[in-house]
Amino acid sequence: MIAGYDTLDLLLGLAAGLACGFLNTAASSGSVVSLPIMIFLGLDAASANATNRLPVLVGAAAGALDFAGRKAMPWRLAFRIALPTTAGSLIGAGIAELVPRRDMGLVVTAAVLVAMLLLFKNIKKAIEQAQDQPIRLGARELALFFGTGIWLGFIVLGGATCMLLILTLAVGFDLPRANAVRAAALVPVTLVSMGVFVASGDIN
Amino acid sequence: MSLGSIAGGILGARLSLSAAAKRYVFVVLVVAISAELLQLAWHYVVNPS
Repeated sequence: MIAGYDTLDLLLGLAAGLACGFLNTAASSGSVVSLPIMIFLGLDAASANATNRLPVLVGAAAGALDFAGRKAMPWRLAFRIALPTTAGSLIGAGIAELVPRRDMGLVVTAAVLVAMLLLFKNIKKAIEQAQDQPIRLGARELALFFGTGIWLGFIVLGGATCMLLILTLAVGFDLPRANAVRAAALVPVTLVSMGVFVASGDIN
Repeated sequence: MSLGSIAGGILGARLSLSAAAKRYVFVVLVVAISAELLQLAWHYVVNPS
C-alpha cells in the first residue's frame, strides 16, 4: 500500500498512463488503454469517461511542450484549429452529462468500433499520403473540427483518430505537424470538458 | 496515471518527429485498437457479468 492505494493498482495506473500519453501523442487512441483500466480499477463507465480526461490532458500538454521545444509546433494554426474544436467540446461534454449512466458503456463500445473502422479504412492511407503540402483551413475544415470537438467532448475515444484524419487528409499537414497541432488542440479541448465534468462531480 | 501520461506524451512526440514515424504509427494504432477489441470481447461476450 502507498498512501492508502494498492501498489499494484498504482503501477497499473502508471503503465496505463504511459501508454495513454504515448499513443495519444504518437498516433491516437490512447484512451483505449486508460479507459478500460479505469473501469477495471472500479470506476463506472461515466466516471471513467470523465476521469480519463486528466491523463489525456497532461499527456497532451507534455507532448505539445516537447514539440514546441523542438521548434515543431505551428502555434498560429494550432490556435485556429483549437478554437472550433474547443467550442464543440463544450457541447459534447454537455451531451455526455445528459446520457444515462447505464448507456455510457454502450457508447464506449460504439466509439471503439468507430475508431476501429476509421483505423483500417483510412488511417493507413492518411499516414502514407501525408506530405507537407499547402494548408487548407477554410470554413469546411473548421466545421469538421467543430464536429470532432463535439465527439471529443462527449467521449475522447476515437475523436483524436478522426482529428488525425482531418489534419492530414483535409488540411494537408504532414504527420509530425498533424500530431503537434493535435496535441496542442487537445489541451483546451480537454480542459473545457473537464470543467463540465468537475462541475457535475463526475471526476473521481 | 497522469504521471505516466507525461512521460508517454514526451516519448510520443519524439517518435512522431523521428524518420521512422510513418512506419511505427500505424503499427502502434493496430496494436492499441486490437487490444481494446480483445478487452471488449472479454467484457461483453466471454464474461458479460
